[in-house]
Amino acid sequence: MTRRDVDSLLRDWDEVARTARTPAPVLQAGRVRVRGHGLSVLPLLVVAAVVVAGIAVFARSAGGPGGGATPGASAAAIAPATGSVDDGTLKLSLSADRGTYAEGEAIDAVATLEYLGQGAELTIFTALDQVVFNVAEVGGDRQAGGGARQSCNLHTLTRGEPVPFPWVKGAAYVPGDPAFAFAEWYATSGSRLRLPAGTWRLSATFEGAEGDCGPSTHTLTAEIVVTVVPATAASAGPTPGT
Amino acid sequence: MRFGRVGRELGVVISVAMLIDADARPASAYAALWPDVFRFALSWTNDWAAAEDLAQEAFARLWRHREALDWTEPVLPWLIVTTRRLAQDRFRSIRRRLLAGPASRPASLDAGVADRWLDLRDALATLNPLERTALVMTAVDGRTYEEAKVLLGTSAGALRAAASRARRKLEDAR
Repeated sequence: MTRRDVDSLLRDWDEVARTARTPAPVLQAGRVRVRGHGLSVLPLLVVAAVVVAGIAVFARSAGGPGGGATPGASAAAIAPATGSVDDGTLKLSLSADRGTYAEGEAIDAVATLEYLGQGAELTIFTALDQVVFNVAEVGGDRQAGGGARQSCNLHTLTRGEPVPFPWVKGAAYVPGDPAFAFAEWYATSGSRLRLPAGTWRLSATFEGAEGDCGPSTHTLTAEIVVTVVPATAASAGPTPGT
Repeated sequence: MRFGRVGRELGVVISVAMLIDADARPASAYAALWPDVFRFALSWTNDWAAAEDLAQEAFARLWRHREALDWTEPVLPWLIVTTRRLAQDRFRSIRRRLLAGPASRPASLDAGVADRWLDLRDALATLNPLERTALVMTAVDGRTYEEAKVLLGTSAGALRAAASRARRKLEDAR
């Protein structure tokens, strides 16, 4: 190979590399961690306002007609919602930072995958999007989700080190087709998860194979249910609790 | 895939995304720098699917560390170092796959481009990651050795030697 051939090879590398498409971002909703000490006044006020608003939302949705909140103690509205499932080798969990949200508010959900086996690590073959997320309306027919890429990749899971997967939107739909109206809205309404008022089942599904690319030997789905209340309820002032 | 533990620590966890300026910066970095990170990962691993995966993983880490990062500094070196470490962590796994059988076409590429890529991949397979990356960063991307050394955390002399070795290996091939 001459020097010119090498230069040609490198130019070709450049051209091919430029065809790579930047995938949809995996960046997700923000999360602020506020510790129990060292707080400045502003974060304290923000925390107080959010807690008061959350209590007000719950009180209104639980006590008023058509509120749609999941029955339970008020703590359920602001406590994290978590669901998990395992098959003895892998554990998949899905959590949101609260059980109740206001309409239009970003829902900060994240799945984690953990290797539970006896070895130090597990090598597993999966599609590039190892965890696929779906939303489905409880008591309704609106749903959206899926959209995993089909390439097969190796991943190594280390025992005791849960791997986080922030919520990533994906959906199959026919643009403009009313039958897919919700899925289209879901897929095109920004990268952060926001839902209309209602009760929603959020799910994360992991499929992976040990040994080589091929039929999945691990299929896990973790679910949680969150309630989304109308924005007007969320913006209302505090009301006496029940 | 080796991610750090991100578990929720004790404390009150709330979503106040609109208050966090930092949230916009990883998104901007993603849009601006994904091609650079991917190209680095591609030259380092010589594996298209692994490069896509590594680039995604590097940005996922950037997202998780967004509050701890010094955003007044360029973020590309952080991403390159992270990508390189991720690639090294998985070197054994990637090598096992590369040795496992004939290369398959990357699913994200059109057939014609995928075939071109497989030819390039074979041609560059004789180079080690540093040789390939030194050559790509300087001869293809047009970076100086001084610029490249900052991204790769090595000396300009080592990079010059690696790029020279890479050219010699390619010229001696066939």
